[in-house]
Amino acid sequence: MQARLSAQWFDGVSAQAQSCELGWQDGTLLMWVPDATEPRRYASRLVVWPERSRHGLRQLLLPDGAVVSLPDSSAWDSWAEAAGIAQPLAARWAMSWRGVALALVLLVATVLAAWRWAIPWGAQELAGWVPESVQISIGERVMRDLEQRGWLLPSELSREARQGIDDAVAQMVRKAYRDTPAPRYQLHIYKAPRWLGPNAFALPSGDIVVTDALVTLLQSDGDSVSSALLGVVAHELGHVRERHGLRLVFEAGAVGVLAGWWIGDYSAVLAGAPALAVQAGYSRGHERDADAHALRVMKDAGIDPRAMLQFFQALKEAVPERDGDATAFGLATHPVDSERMRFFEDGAR
Amino acid sequence: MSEALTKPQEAPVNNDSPKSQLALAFTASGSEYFRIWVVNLLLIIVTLGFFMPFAKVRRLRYFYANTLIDQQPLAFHGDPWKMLRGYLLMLLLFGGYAVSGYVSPWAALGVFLLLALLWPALWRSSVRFRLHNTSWRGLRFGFAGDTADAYKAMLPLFLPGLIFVAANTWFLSGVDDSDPQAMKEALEAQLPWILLGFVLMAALFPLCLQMIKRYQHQGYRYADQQGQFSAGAGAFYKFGAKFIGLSLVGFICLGVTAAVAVPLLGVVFGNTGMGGAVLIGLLFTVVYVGLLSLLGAYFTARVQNLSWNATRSQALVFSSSLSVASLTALIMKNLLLMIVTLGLYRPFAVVNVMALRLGAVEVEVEGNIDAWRASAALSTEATSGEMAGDFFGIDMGL
Repeated sequence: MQARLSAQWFDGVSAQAQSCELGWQDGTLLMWVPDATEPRRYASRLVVWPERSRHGLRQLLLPDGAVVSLPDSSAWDSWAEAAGIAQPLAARWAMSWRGVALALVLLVATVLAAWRWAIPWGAQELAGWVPESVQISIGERVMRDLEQRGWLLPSELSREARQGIDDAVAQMVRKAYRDTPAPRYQLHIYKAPRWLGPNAFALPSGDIVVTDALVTLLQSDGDSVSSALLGVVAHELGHVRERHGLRLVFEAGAVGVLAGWWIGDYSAVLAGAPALAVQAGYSRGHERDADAHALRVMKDAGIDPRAMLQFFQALKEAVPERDGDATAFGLATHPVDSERMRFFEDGAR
Repeated sequence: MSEALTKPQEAPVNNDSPKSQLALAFTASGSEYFRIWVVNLLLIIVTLGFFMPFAKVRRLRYFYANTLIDQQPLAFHGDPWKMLRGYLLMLLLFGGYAVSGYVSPWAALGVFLLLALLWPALWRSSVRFRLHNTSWRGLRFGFAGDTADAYKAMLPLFLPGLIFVAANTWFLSGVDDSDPQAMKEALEAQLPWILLGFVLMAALFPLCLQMIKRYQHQGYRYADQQGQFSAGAGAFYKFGAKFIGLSLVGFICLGVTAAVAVPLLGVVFGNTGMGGAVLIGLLFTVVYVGLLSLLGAYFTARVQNLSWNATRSQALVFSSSLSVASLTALIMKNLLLMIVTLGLYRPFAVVNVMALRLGAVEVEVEGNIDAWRASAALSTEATSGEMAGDFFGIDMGL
């Protein structure tokens, strides 16, 4: 039995502090209070013990609603240690700087692992679960919305030219997917407002939209369908096949939730900026995957991948302000053109 | 016995209820909370969120142990195992809301309405749980606000919300959304109602804020002390008008600065293309964030001062003199350091904002607190309060 420790006792009925003495015997807390000869006894597991800290005062919360206040923290700490009252794991951990450093390293590692592997993997799994009917209805809704905004207008290309592109794409898909099933796709050619420029995009439903401007940019020579245009469609087919649209939605959602949880309750603006950068990073990854897909499809269909060099060259001439400084902040959704050109050039060998 | 009591000539002025100041001290340190925070965060991640209520109890107990009123700390009696149930219920509700959107828009609307209908009751029970589990000098705090009054306090915001929902269902249900013309007409017919909803919301917000603060502060209990709240809706409307005025002046200044600075910088830097644009964008962001910090600080400080200066009980008088300037400066400093440290400064920021806000509050007491006793009503309520579950960890406006 160890020495008694004097403390302040609040009985839970009166606000007045009363002096008391604490003792410890076989895992039981003993408390001598004024006007009582016998000590009160509390089983160790029923008492809420204070965690050790440099700042703040220690208190014991007793099961009968009483509170013991300990004005001298260090006296309590050594008394509790002598009694063998253990600190919870989390408290012991936070008390040592080495433990905190380890926790910090593990925390950063967990966040990095989530960013690098867990989130992309989870998004891919989730995208796989979304039924086809939902993907189709998403695609239909987006197409209708774009039409209503006047961003997709009837194409001004000749019916023959459009038919030619349709046929060439169908032929490429037939050749490229001899062994594996081809992704379900539907090619649309639309005239778009000037700001959209030469462009192509794919929706989760398999709808692939190519703008008139892109077609005229790549095949100024007239009727024959350019290999570059087929390459662009092959890239979009890669997006459809890998469900990049849905995956990005899930990835962006996860990043948004995590960033919001990390600092969002302090500042939404602050949480938004890094979230955008990480989302853009995921998007660049998808673009690289789609490029790799395009390279394979082009090779299998007997199209020279170097046609894509012509595409980037033409795009640079048509839209000189492309490839801007946005990459400097890591906010670009696509890798820089030079990197992508090198990819197709190396792939062609 | 102290000598003073035996010498009548040295006793305080003859007054039945001598007034004295209750010293408030907040002794938490940023670096110490940082250590608690890092370990909590890691354990939450490793346990996939299961540790959340335990982390919350550890955090609260640290802050309570460092909140000294007249040299006695607060204590938190909540049981994390019971709080876990509240967390799971919230997860179910919000998860249901998130998932229902994928099932059908009507399911989402249903869950949203259910959430909105439950909100005041959840909010009340969380305030109640927190206070019933907080003690000082061994006596529990309490909250006497009832559920009906929680709904009444939030009613002014429900009205515009109801208009939004009603206008949406009335004008848009049954409209063929594949027909752009019909859609456009329906949206145009709906527009005035939506505008009405927004105007009503802005007009009712100060009233709602006053009612919420009154509900909270009048509900506070400690021993036989009952909260009283003397700020009327007028005071909150005055604050609202000043806040809107400040926002307008701020955004006009921002616009004028941009209009002047952009051409000026163009002259200084010449046509450097992207570099100049990036610089201007960065400058603009800094000024914009500064303005938002100022507005946020103004709102927080003025609402805290207004509410606590209007609060007292039979024997306690509260006052608050939080300065907008120092809160703005602190918020901006915190933002900067959070960016530099990629968010690791957060626990320091939490502690220093709490210290500033608590440091601005003073409590005066009439009479001798030693004589106060737990109210019989409160101690029976405390047991039922345990069951309510800690839903949001809403703070007490301090």
